[in-house]
Parts: sequence; C-alpha cells; structure tokens
Amino acid sequence: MHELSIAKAIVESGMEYIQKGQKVINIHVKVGVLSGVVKEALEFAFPEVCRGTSFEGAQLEIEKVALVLYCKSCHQLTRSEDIVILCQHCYDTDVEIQEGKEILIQKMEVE
Amino acid sequence: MCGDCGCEVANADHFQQTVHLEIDVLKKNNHIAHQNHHWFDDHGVMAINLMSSPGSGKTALLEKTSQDFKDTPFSILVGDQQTDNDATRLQLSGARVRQITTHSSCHLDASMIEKELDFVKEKLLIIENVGNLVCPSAFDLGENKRVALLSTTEGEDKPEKYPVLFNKADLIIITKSDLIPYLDWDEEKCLDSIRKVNPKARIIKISSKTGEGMNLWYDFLRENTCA
Repeated sequence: MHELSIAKAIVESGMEYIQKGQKVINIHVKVGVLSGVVKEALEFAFPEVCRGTSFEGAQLEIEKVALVLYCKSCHQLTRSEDIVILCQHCYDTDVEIQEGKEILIQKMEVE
Repeated sequence: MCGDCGCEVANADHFQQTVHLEIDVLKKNNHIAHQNHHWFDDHGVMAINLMSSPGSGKTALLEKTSQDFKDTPFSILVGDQQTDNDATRLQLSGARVRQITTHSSCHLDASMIEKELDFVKEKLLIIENVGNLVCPSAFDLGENKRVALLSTTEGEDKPEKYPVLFNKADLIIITKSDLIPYLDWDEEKCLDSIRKVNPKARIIKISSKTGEGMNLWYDFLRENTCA
C-alpha cells in the first residue's frame, strides 16, 4: 500500500503550484503501468491525505499510461498494457522503455 | 453577483483556472535519491538495494555473506516495519548492521537512507529492503545496483505477477536451490518468466544453506566493488 505515500507526494507536489486561498477542484494524474501504482488503491488513499488541505474534496482523475517500447533493432514502437519487454514486430528484446514508468501530475483545476 | 459562477458574492474575484504541470510526483524522493547517489560516488561506496517478498531469503543470504565473503568489508542497512530481529540475526553472523524500522511504511525511501549515511564507513553497502514485492520498487534510494531475490518455494511465475520489481533489477537471485528436489519447480519456466519482464538481467541460482552458487553472488559483489 505504497499508494498512501504516492497520494501524500501528489498533495505535497501540487501544493507548490497553488496560491494561498486557492482550492483544488480537480487533479489529473498520469500513472504508467510500470510505476507499480494500483489505481484503486490510490483512489482510496487520496481523500484521506487531502483532509484539511486545499485538496479536500478534489476529484482525482487517473489516466493509465501504457508501456511504450522502442526497438533498437527494427526501430518500431510497441504499445502494451502488459509488462512484457519484447518488440512485438521483430521479437527482439533489445528495447528501450519510452513510456510507462511515470507518475505525473499533468494538470490541476483550481479556484 | 459574481460574473464567473453566478454566486451571491458581490464583485467576487474567484474563478476556475487550469494549471498545466507535468510534474513528477516522486520528485522529492528522486531528488534525495540523487543526493544519496552523489554521496556514494564521492565516498567511493557501491550501494546495493536488495528486494524481494518476505521470507525469500534476504537475511539468510546476508548471514552467509557475512560469514564467508572477506574480500571487501561491508555495512548493511536493514529495513523492516517492526522489530530489530534481522539486525540481531545479522550481528550474530559478524555483520556491521543497522536496523531501519519503517513503522507504517511498507518500503524504504531515499530520506530513510539519507538519515543513516553517517553509519556507512565501508566501500560496500547492502540495503536489505522491506520484504514486499510491490512497494519498494517505486522508490529509488540512490543505489548503484538493484538485486531481486526469488525463492524456489514461491513458484516460477512471480516475475510475471510482480513485473515492476523484477523489471528494474540488475541481478536476479533464485534462492533456496537446495529445496528443488522436493518441489515441482521448473527452472526453464522460471527463467522464461524472468526474461519476459527483464530480458537483460543477470540470473544466478544459489542456496544460502548449502553454499551452492554463492561464489556467483560473491563474483557480482567483487566486480562491482572493484569498478
């Protein structure tokens, strides 16, 4: 349940970008499949850490980011919801992970 | 009346705005991890983060290592939610060890390591993370190498079930090889499962009990401390 730590980090990081007296209505977070974050666990933890902060009552939108692999052999991209480190075009394993590791706050709606 | 939302507050200046950010949620942890990494570099320390499920043999591996590996002195930081049982066990085997008790946290993070840097005197630091196959993988500690353990009693397909931790490992150690004759454990199946999520990882098979394969682990330590 490290999602509690992740939820805390979301609030702490987001706090730096709002001004005094502002309230967060909505926060959009991108979570890669290789980040190890479980969407449901993060949704469960988030309201708890928001209590008493400018994030209280904020709606958390989680966008899952698929794994994107760049193949160094055939130079094609593989997109996958599953974590399988393999080019689906030429079946080479010499690939670079381009997307899927991230946990990013993409945007916040504040008032 | 407020012109933005129609509320009753006269001349209210509140309005909704969208702030576009693209900021890394773990930037605070990653920043401390980066500082730890620099500290290790500046002090010529090789730091290894050992991760696995509870009971897969991390402490047994380190006990055996403390008894047998005399090439390079090393320090151990061991993380657990409660008790200092592991530190006590490791001290008995002659190791220089400090316990980190994480209480409510299911993983070590970079700030917990930062607080213990004064303890690190040797050129090799082994960090035994909290036994957990999910959470520790998300938190960079600033280590130079990540090592994942997988015991034969856990079955062959753990890497596919918990791919994040195994994907990030430089070395994967299959432990408890002495139990293979008593289990329906299929080595090829296990290797396939590892390669699916981490085709480039070095894989070794050991038994801390009989000593089988331990020389491969010591080779890994030697190679990395000499570098």
